[in-house]
Amino acid sequence: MTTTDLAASNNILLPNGTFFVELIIFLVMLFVISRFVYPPLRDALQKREDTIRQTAEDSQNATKKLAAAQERYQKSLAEARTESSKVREEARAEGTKVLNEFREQAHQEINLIQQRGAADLAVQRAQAVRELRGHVGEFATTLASRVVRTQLVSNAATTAAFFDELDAEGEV
Amino acid sequence: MTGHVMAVSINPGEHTQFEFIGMTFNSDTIISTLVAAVIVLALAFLLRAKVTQAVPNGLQLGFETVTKFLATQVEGMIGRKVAPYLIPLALSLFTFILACDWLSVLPAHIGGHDYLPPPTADVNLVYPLALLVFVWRHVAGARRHGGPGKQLVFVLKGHMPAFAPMWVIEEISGVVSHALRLFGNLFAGGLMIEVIGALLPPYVGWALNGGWKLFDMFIGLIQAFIFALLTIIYFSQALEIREDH
Repeated sequence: MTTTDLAASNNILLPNGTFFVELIIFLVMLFVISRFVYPPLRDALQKREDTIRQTAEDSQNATKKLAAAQERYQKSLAEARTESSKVREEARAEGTKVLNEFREQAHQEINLIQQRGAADLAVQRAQAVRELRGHVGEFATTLASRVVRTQLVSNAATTAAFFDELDAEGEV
Repeated sequence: MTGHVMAVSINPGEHTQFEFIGMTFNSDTIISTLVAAVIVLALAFLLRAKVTQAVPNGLQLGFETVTKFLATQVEGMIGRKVAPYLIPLALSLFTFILACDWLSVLPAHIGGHDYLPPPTADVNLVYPLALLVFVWRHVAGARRHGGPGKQLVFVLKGHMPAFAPMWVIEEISGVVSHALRLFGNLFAGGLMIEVIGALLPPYVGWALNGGWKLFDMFIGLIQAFIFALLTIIYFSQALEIREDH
């Protein structure tokens, strides 16, 4: 073996027949991985990504639905508040109206009672006056007879004239 | 003194070999490669048997993390539809190279000879991988650009036609550096193990050896990652559509 041959055989940078064996081993490995291992791995990854994407979309949709529901709730709440305020105002107006009606009715009843009372009083007064007119001459004659110690006689005409004068003056 | 020097002699790149049909074969590299391939395929079929869309186990999570990362790179640089074969190729390269690299951690260094050396520390593995990527990307580029002639023109024109020789050199240096970067890192790791084993007594060397093997694991991971990532980058360069101004 010459020096050049020796150098060539020991040169770690020069390949030999192993080159082809290594190439074949790798090609077999590449074929097996490409054909039998990578596809299920790729599918599992893809499906998981799809699931994650779907979950994210669902979550996003749920968030949107929640926001929409909250918006509807707030809107309904505002409407209910407006409605309740309106009902309250109407109730208050109705109450005031009823109160006024009752007050008016009470006033009318008061007036009626007052008028009746006045009429009754007038009747009683007239009756009292009538009774008084019938007896006042006699009382006066009796009283005067006791004062002068002489029997006096009542004069109905004089008494009537006296009451006519009082009526004329408005005192009775 | 001379005896001591003799005792620490190391033989980097030495392989157990056999002859077949007029060619030399490195039997240790072939065995290591087969072991790495069996490990990867066993894990891959275990994954296939237990793959689930629900909560993945640790093995599936590992494969998924690598696949997702590579898929993101392919999608960003080329587009999955343009090169649907690229993700499984990059995945195969990454897992296979990683398994080969991590063989260096196994304590198979007995009596000054590594019985299960990382096959990536032999150019016979890294050359075919880099050449496969080189040929495949230019075939794919030719199909995308409308034929081998157009692909050649595409390569020669580069981003500035005046520098055509530079683009040729870049293509050659690209494939060489793609292969030798991986080889150099793993070869140096094995060399360091040999040096440590030769220079230090075993009662001290084991700790340093263990530390270095952990570091080798990190280097192996980084190199597998770089090799796969560079594959995607080279494909993206070969498949890009340039607008002529």
